[in-house]
Amino acid sequence: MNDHDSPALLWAWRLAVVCRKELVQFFRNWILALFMLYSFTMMAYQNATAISRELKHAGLVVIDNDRSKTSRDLIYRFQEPRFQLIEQLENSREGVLRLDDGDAALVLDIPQNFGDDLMNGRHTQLQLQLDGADSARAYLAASYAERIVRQFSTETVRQQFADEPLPIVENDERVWFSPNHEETLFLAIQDLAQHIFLFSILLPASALAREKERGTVEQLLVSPLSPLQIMLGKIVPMVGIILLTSVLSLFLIIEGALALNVRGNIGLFLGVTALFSGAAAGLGIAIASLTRNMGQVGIVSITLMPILFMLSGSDTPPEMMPDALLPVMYLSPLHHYLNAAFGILIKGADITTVWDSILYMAILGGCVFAFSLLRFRQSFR
Amino acid sequence: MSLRRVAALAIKEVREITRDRLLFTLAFLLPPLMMVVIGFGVNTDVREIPIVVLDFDRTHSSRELAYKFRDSQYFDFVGYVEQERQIQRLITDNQARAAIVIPPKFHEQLRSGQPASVQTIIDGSIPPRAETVGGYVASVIASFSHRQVTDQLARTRGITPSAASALANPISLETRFLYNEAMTSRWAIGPGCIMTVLAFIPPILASVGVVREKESGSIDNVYSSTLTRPEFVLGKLIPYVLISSISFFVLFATTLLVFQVPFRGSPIAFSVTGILYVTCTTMMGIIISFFVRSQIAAVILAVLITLIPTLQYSGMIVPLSSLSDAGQIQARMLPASYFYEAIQASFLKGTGFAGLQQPIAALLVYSLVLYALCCLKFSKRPKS
Repeated sequence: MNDHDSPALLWAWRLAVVCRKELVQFFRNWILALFMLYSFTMMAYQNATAISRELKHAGLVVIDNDRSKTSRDLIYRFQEPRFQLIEQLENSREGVLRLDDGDAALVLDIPQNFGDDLMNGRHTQLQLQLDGADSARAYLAASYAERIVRQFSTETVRQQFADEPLPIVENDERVWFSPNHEETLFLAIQDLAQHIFLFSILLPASALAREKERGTVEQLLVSPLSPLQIMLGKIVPMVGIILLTSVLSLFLIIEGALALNVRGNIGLFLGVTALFSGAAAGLGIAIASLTRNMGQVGIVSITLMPILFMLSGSDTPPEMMPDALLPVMYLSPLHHYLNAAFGILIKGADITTVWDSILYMAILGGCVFAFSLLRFRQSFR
Repeated sequence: MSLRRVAALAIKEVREITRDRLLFTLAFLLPPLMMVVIGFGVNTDVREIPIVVLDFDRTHSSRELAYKFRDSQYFDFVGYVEQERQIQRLITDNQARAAIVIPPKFHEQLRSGQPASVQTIIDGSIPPRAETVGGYVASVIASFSHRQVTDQLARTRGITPSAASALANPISLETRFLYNEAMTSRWAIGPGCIMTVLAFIPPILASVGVVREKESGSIDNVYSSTLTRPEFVLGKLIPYVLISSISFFVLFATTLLVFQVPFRGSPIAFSVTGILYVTCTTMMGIIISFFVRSQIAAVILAVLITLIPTLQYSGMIVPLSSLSDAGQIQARMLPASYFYEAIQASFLKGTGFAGLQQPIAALLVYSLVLYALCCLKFSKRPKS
């Protein structure tokens, strides 16, 4: 460098030098680099295809006290892939035992004279017992069973009054963006977001924690670098690598191996991803500036992660969140990122719709960034 | 195997851990905190689903249907819209999760006793949520429909409303949730958190504990000592299992005292299962540490191998029966799926020791296999 260079150019040059150092260090740790590649590709594929949030093969035990054509008709409605008829039993006590074992998810009890009662226009009641200990499955199973019984009931009424029109209101349901309840794209995006989040927090945090542990951070401090440059030197290369692997995951896995169609503008999505990754990296640096070694960084950031995953809104939407936790949810960059990512990739939203998520992320990122910078200046003065 | 050598290593390890006071405190303090946040935050009780109505009919009947959604605690009636385009915009912007389109002549058809149909549009971008929302919308419409049919039957047949109601809906379904009658989500999440926390804290502590020695080079002391491979693994294992077992009891107490989850099984058998489970996860951490050379790689591997699969494959969030065959195999390869069985048997079902035999046997085999692997994989003469 010579004296004729402008200060801005010098500043950028120095930043580039620390970024390069960080990249060299990252790629020398080839086990980590390989594992990162694996987690954004093969692991992403596995997670998107192996999991289903829907009800599948829920074990059904039927106690048919009626044994008529009508009762068999009803049982026949509980079909694969949602339900799996395990067996028919004689009494409901045995049914509860099957629930205890965990073999069965639900026990349907059909009363005596079920068919006769229906034929003669008498009211009849079915009993459904579910394994409430497996709450995820129990909720889904109850909801489907209710739909099936309701449909059966309506059809019975329609048959009985075949000659007389009735003012029945049909529900013509259309599910937008995923007409066949196709979950793969949702799962793939959720998984990608979680991986981006994990690496964006941990890579910069560990880069800083490692230097603190070994004492090489002193070398950085005596160099002509400003605290901002040191911080950016940790963040920029990592965000770059993460962005690269995300592009790989998007094209190779989501659009390639999984053959899913994404809507929306990919450029906008990548821009939002860069912002999110940067905000998360700021969080990582903040954690590293508050702790002393890698063990502490690991415990703090990994404990935060399930909290932020669960409060991201893909499991529990904001309107169902307890009031006390709603602010925590809005403080999570993952929540805003998922809103934007689902919006762009699944719903085809453009910037006029997702601008608020972008703004939130920018503000959150700015705040943690400012905080870390302040901490950084204090602790090394 | 010399117990003296094992004890010497274990004591040195305990000293090292307790000297990093911040780490030690965090390892005990953060998990219960995380448990409280998640336990009270994850809520499966549906309420206030934002919904809009597009009413082409604008009559008494259509307003009555809209009112059903307004009146329900499950829905938050955002308002009427004028065109289908607006529905698209509101759903894309997350301001509505469902929309009801009431066709023209809705009232006329119902009045003349003809069937009518309403269109419901559900936001399917998050499929499991679409499922729930669809179910609640369908039940409101069904109850409206039932009312119309009942009214007509009572009028035309001259029977009492209750008799007409039975005719209009001849089958009712009584649903009972066993073991957790009110479906308190805290009861399901709390014990699940024990499993989640103990899936990642022990492996992080253990793997960082070993890799730190590799990074600083102090592991050379071990390489040049008389310590044998099984002794080294055991000496590293014991302190971390001890710490994680204390953590297990803290979390166990939190579920009982803070979450007030009923415990119906055998506390001793459950504690044995818990200790076996942390032994397994600790050894996973030790195995990870033999493969990597840096602490960061250890932490990231621990998360990706233990935490994320545990969240997805243990059965807590996703029902095990809903996994694909490959997913089922993956689930069975994790200690968490066995521990989750023990959790269900002990907390809500109360099947006692009988329900725990299988998980205990599985975890015992699992930990023995891992121990053998650890001893085989650990080398006192590393290649580089």
